[in-house]
Amino acid sequence: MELIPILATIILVATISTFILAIGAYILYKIRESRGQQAEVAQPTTIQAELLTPEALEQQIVFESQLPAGQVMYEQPRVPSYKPAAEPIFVKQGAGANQPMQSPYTAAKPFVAAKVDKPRRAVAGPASPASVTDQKFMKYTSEGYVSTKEETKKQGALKWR
Amino acid sequence: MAEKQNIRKTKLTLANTKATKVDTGEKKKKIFRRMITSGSISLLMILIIIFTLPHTVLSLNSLIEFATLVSLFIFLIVLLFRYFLLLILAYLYINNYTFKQKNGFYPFVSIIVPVYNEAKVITQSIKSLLKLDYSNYEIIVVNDGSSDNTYDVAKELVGFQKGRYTDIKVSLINKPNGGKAKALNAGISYSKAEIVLCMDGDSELSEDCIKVAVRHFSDPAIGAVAGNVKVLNRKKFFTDLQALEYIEGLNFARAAQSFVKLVNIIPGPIGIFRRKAVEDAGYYSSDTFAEDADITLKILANGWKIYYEPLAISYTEAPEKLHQLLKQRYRWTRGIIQAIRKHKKLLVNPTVNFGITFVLWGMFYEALIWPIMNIFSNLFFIFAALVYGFSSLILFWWAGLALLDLATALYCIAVEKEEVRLIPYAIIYRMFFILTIDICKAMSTVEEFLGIEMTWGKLERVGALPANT
Repeated sequence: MELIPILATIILVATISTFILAIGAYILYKIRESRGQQAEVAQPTTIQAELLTPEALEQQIVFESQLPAGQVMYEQPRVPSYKPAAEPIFVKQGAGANQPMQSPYTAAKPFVAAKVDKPRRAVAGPASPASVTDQKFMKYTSEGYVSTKEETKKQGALKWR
Repeated sequence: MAEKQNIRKTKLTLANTKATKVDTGEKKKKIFRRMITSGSISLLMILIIIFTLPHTVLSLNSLIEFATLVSLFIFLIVLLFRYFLLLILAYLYINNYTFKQKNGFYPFVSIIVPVYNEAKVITQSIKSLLKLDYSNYEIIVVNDGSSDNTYDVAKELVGFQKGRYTDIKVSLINKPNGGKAKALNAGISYSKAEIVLCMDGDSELSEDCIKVAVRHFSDPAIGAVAGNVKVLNRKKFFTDLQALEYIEGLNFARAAQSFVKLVNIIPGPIGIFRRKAVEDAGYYSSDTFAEDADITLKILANGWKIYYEPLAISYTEAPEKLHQLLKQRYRWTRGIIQAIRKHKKLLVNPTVNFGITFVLWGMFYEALIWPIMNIFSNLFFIFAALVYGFSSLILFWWAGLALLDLATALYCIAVEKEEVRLIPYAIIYRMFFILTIDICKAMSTVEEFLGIEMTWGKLERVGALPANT
């Protein structure tokens, strides 16, 4: 007997069997599923949940020597800075729902130049001649150089009166 | 696992939008109306053929033969075109991937692990996560109202656990049952990381998974990275077939799609997302049964790109019984159709976002057209063999497809450095395994269009996660 008709018969029988098996399995699956089906009930708009999180570590252990080459720790040691409030609402609703949240770990903070206060000048007491030249309107008294601002204000008030 | 640590308990209020509608009699009326409409149209078309046929040169038999041959020819052309297009794109992707390695981006990552009745596997799953080759991450377990002792098991894992390079924070959110989408949303909302990794509670990640996946986010256009899902419980006939399907059917297509950075489904067992992309998409939705397909389409619709990382591997348990497999595929098919229907405006309007239109048509073809074509071609060959005695036709058809599958399996297994013993399964893969799946897909499609109610199914886990994979 030739090989092709034998193989063709095998494939034909196998394909028909697959069809029957697949349809039968599907029907059985549907019967099985329909037994356990329950009517769905309406759900509330918010649900209560519980969060379990570890307290922040005093000092985090980092095995620096084992870090792979090139991999940088972004924050070392990393101590979680976020402290959930008593009743936080996690999933935002409404218009603000799609607002991006920034990570305290990775979000790049805009650079703000450090505000450095100029050293205050001595109001009373003897001042060096070099510092006196910086300010034009200083009054020299027995107590040293004194600002004239207060006096000017007082004089003005008197004049107005 | 570690010494007792101070655990803080906090009450949360989570949004529970998209509440399921309560079924009313309206649904049945709708199904009845659809059946009447489609039945009337079919009857009208048959009558037109019967009345007009005598006026043509064709007889009824020749019409059937002619129509069948034309359909088969079109089917063959589409099949070959699809195969070679995927093959070329997948090859270009692998070339691109191999020669354009990007390293040096290590952002903080939150791993979200939604669990529902996973007491058997959760400890092993978290232990494997602590061994990841990455230093900058945390683990958030979301217990979705499990009815077993998952909560107690997961509670023991909360704390700063010793990771590979540093202590890893493990948190637990315990919420009432609401589905995977809501569980993932709760985890993502709690996380403060810019990159989130969503996975399944029963899956296990490869050690360098995060490291290889997050490097693609250095490109600001990338909104998400799809990982590579592999079958964990192999060495069984049924699961081996699925292992081949994951490599040849799913990952191969994903690699091809990744060449144009338009991956159509980020798999549930491993998806890495940019937080901004998830927020733009409005988080996971609960209105479809394939939340992973839905969020992928929403991310693509917002203009983000999605890449595939073959080295970010997630090992997952595949169904071991036929009814479990059918349950899974039934849910996938209906979920994908629901997701496509949600974006139907983009399906017919390519001017808004051509990429998403292309993706949607691809999904439409895979989910609806392909299964029906495959079933009808097989039915035709059975008919030709039984009625006309052309039994050799079915053999040649099967041999052609098997040869094509063998070549593809060989290529995919070589690329992924997978088990060579899976290659022979390609001989029976198309004709028997895929035929069974396609019949299930076709039935599910009919049910979806008729609007028949369905529920989420939970796959029974055997707890097959080994200590080391």
